[in-house]
Amino acid sequence: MDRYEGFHEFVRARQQSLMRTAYLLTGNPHLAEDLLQTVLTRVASHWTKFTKSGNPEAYARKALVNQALSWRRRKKIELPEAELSELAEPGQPHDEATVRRLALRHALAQLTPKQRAVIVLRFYEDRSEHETAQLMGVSIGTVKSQTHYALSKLRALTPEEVYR
Amino acid sequence: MNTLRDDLHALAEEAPAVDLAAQAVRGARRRRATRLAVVAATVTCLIAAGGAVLLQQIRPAPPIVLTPPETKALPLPAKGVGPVEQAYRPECRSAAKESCRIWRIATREGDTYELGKDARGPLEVTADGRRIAYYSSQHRTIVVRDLASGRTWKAPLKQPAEDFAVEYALRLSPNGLRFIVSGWGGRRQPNKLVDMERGTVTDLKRGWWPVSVSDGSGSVVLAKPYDNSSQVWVLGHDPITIPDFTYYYSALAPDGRTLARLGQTFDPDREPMVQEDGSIVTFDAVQAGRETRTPISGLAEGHRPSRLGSWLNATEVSVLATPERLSADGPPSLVYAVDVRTGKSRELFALRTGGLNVVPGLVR
Repeated sequence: MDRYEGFHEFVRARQQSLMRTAYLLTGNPHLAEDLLQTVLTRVASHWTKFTKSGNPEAYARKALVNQALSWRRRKKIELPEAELSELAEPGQPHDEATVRRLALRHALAQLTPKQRAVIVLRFYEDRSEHETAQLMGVSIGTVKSQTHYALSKLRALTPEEVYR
Repeated sequence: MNTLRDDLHALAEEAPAVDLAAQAVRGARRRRATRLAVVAATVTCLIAAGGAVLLQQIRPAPPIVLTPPETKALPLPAKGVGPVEQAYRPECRSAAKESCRIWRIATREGDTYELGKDARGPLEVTADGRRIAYYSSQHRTIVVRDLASGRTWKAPLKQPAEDFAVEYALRLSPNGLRFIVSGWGGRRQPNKLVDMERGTVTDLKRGWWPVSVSDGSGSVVLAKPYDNSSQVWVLGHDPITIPDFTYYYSALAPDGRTLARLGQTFDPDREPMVQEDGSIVTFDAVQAGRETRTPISGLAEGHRPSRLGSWLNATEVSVLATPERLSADGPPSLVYAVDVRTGKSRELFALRTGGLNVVPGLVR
């Protein structure tokens, strides 16, 4: 029996969803791909265990968050800080949503790794504070405080009246 | 908050489409093959060593010096142990095995000893190799042990083992009796300066990473990286800012104010944008000012500097150099003394491969 039986199907079904989270956590398509590949390699290494019991997606999501935090803390990976002026081409009209999205991308790049992770988990994946704390391996109090700081920072860095 | 949710979903849609299944399986196969190769290599070495002994009994052969694979280590004696060259925890295929979490220390004289089951958590060695510090699960605290005399000191700070189940740092002073213990990612996230001689524990500011601790009431150096720069703070002075995001510092130099860090360059059009440039940068940690950048020379081919450690004298600092590609059957990591004025390096020793290594005085 192939020890990776079922792994390809799992990846095909879930990789795009995991990739979107990885992209939000890193803000960079290349880093997101590296991050996801690292995590999926780890999932594949433990695949026989997951086939007997376990939830590979839950493991992958937790590993994504922890790996992203660890990369930004321990490795010298420079995350991009998209400049609004670069992203909004001069002379091109932009609708309000586009400008807001560009501002959000810029603002996310200014957050600390933990703040960025709580924003992604709480407001993109719609996780509860309890789930977010478990995924990040921190206390609920830390999730609350990091969410508060992150939102304050986002509000300060994005156009007025957004994310109130 | 719906706007934020909508915008995050819109941003997430920009994620590129990928197909990583085949790559992930290839990676997993490689990891598995590496693990099996290590076991096979060990078995082969054992058989070869056994065969060689038999052959030598039959006919005398010219002396060929091979480093035999280490198969047995004696329990650490209560006292009379010489300075440690390095400590390591052998790699195991199954982390659940009892033997997988036992530390071994190798002395400069070539003896290898095994620590007891009580010392399975973090372990650090003072820069001179004469004392070790480890988390004692029995006493729920850090214990420092003088290897020659056997004297031990227990830290006046109880900690649950969970503090070390996440990322942590244990930074020792030169005599090991003052240290910083920090943790990230766990429930408690301690960042404390512990003085064994005075019996005091001082809370340090959260978010600052320990770089260097001096004995007695000497300097304590912390650092905090930002996206494009870092702050270095010698307690009692104002923090200074350096233009790199880095964790790769040396301990404080004997002059009490110079620090070294690994040099790096930044280019937004390159991937990765930040790359080490093989140089060592010295700077004044107390007062921001001029920096001196010196290219490191004389490292083994294919090795690059990856960590800095303690100062061996006024101008030489220890540097860990790792191979570009780490693999079980590849060359080992090497520890050098590098002269910060000339960049010239001299090899001190090679790390035992295949596991977790601790180099005395290394800042990590």
